[in-house]
Amino acid sequence: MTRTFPAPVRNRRRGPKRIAVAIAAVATAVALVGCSATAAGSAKPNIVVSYWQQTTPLPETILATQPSLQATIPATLSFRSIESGPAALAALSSGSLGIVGGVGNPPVVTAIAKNTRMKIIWAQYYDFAGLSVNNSVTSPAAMAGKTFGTQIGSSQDFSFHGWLKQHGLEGKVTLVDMQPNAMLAAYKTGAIAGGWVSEPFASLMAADNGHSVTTSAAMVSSGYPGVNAIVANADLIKQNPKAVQAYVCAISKAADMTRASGSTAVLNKAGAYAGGKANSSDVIGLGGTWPYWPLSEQLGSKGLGSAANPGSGLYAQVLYKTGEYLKAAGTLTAPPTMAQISAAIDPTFAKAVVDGKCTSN
Amino acid sequence: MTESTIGAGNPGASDGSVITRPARIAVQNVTKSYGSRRNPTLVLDTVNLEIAQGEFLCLLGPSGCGKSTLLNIIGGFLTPDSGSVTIDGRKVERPGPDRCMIFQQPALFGWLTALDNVMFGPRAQHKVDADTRDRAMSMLDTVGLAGTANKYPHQLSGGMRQRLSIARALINEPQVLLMDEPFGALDAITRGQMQEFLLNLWAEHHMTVVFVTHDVEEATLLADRVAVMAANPGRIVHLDSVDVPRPRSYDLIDSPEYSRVRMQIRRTIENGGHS
Amino acid sequence: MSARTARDRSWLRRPLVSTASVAGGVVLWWIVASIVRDPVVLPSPIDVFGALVKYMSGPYPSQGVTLWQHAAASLTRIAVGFGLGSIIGIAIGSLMAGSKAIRHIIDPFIELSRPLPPLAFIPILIVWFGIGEVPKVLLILIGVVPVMIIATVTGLDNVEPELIHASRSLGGSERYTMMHVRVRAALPSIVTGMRLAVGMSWTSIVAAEMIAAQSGLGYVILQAGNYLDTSLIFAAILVIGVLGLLMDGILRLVLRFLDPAGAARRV
Repeated sequence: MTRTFPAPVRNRRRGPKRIAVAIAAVATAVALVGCSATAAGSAKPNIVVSYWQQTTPLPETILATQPSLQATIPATLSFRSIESGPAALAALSSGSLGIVGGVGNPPVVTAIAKNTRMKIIWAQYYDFAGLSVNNSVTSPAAMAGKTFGTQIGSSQDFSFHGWLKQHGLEGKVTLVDMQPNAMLAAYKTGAIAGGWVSEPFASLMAADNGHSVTTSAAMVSSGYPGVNAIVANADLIKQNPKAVQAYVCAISKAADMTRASGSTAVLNKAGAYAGGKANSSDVIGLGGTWPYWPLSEQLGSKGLGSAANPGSGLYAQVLYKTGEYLKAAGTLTAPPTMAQISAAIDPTFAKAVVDGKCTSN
Repeated sequence: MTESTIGAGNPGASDGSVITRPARIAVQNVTKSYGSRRNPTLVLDTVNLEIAQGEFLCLLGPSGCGKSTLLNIIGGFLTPDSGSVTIDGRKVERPGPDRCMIFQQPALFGWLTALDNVMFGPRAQHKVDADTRDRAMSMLDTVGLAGTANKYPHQLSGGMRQRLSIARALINEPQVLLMDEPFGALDAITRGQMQEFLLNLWAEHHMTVVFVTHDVEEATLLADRVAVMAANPGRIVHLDSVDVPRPRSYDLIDSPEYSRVRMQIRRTIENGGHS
Repeated sequence: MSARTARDRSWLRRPLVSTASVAGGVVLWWIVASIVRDPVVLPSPIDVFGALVKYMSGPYPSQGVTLWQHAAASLTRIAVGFGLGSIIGIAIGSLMAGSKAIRHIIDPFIELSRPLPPLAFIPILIVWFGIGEVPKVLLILIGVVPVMIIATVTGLDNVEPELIHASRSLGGSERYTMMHVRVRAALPSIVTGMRLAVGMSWTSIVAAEMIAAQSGLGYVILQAGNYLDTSLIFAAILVIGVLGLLMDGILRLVLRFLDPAGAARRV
């Protein structure tokens, strides 16, 4: 008699088990994808905001340390420190940053030229920087043949080249690329005769056997100012216009808080967030005198222009000029047209603030 | 077996051999310890030995009996704690080309060709002249390595490498050849061939040889006298003469004469040094 | 099929396979770039090749020099930094191998310097040495010296004692043995250290050229990074890669010459 063996029990049990595992895997994957997809469109989105790695408090670090301000924004904010404008805009382009503040004209115009999906939504502040030289440089003409530091690619660099052009010194001075703290060290040891650099370095250099020649703010009238704006990811604006509007309102309020009563406490708290010492000149002195863009000049010819014609504003024109400068320098072969620049500016959020439409807290 | 000093063959053999003057070695009261001061191991305990000119002497014993240590002291690589070694009356203090050492691993210079290896000695002693190169080439012939002058050690077999290391030593006309288990790393067949080679070489040149081994067969085949050593502490327990006539060849291992001597030496070892 | 033919073919096989693999990689890159379609995120091989060709004969930036000259500037800094660093490292390593006291004195400094990134030294170098070529070369040197010290010490330590005994036994004086045997036997290890040091030098070049440079491949990468000119960044990285490969190839040839036995083992 032959024994008939039943089909091995193992296989039969494996079949359904395998299917169950597969379904679970697919379900998990769908859930994960779905979660991330809906996260953007859900009631309380996550917005990643950048702040500059420096001890002087700016509106972003003030926002980070004032929960009442954050409460006015229908979103959960997280903050990431950055040290470079171009890097921050690259991160914005890839979506790892949602909003970048205080980014200067050269990185912005470069990003526009590279078709980055972004919109400029707020003219935030002018450069707090200037040209400091040592006392052996008694006049602009005396700068010829000497070596000066600059931060190549920055708005300070743009202002410096504009100033040199105006004084007929283009090509007559040697410029070396340096980070601010390296520039200070090189200045102190006499390796360079001066440089165009942000505060507090400009003042430190001027104080050390030197003087200030001019500042970035003074360059507004002569056409080569360093201007810094808030830039937001275009998809973020599309999906969460309310949150973005509330953000702009909160940032504007944060800037106001640096001049209002109780500013010392606000500044100290924000300064500490980035490692600054309480009541130091970095935190209080610079933080309290930062050259914020006046609200009265936010729109129109002195700012972002109008919703119908952003190109009419100073900001767009500075960007255009910056593009030309970069092209001549050989670093940006295809600068954006005025049309492209206009398309990248969205003054509607600023308009709401100017019209008083921010909800008071 | 009695102790006897055998005056071995003719110093400076008749056919214009390589070796100029084989030396007489005297080991006197040599003691050597290793290890910490608290727990020293006595590796050699008051060893006395006289090796005649042109004699082929084997140091035979198990591991730990101090045979390699004794060889290194004769070679000048180690200094004894007490006692001394003299060569033709001169005290040994450091290594030198008059006592050339052959190791178990040939220690050839891998970046030099066979010829350059052989010429290392003359070059190191700054004694190179017009016929050094020819002498080196003929040395390679002597050890059966003709035609390998431009080969590198890694291209030679184990046996060839050992022969090369012997050639490298011989060109310096050492008075004494010290060999520390030189054939231990070779396979049995190659070892047999090398033993035959050494027998022939010694028959022709008669240098003083001190040969360390743990192999009774090898000692019996090669040596004029065998110094049997034991461990704990390291010492020479017996000196046996090998009364087998020269010249010898490898075929000897099948002869009854050889077996008798070998058995006697083996018994010496088994009896802990008493015959 | 004789053994000889088989050996001939295997000699040819390796470079063929490597070339095919690289070509395949480029094709894959081109496919992915076509999908991504954003030259800032991933330029296609054609974009990169275009940047390469453009700047080989044209200056970058407009007041600057051509890519050849940038490469020459970086190569010069590396040659000097690596060359001096190797000599210093080998010298210190030899001293350490010869004397336990010196070894114990210098060892802690090597251990301390190893984890430090080159970037950390920039402000100090500027203060002490200014903004010319010296601090740049020094930055490279700082990375090279510890690697060469360690390679030299381990090379000398690992020389088989039998070789030294053999040399002494053959009549070599202590000095002759040191020079002709110990150092010579340690050379392959030292040259291997050099291969590592060359790699380190290229890694440090970007940091070195952050010190007020006006030319160099690291400078080009930094500038291009500021303007999101990813094609140029890739092109400069490619040039660095090729130069690094060439330098390593030369050292491998030297290694083969110095260590005939190793070459047989290695292929």
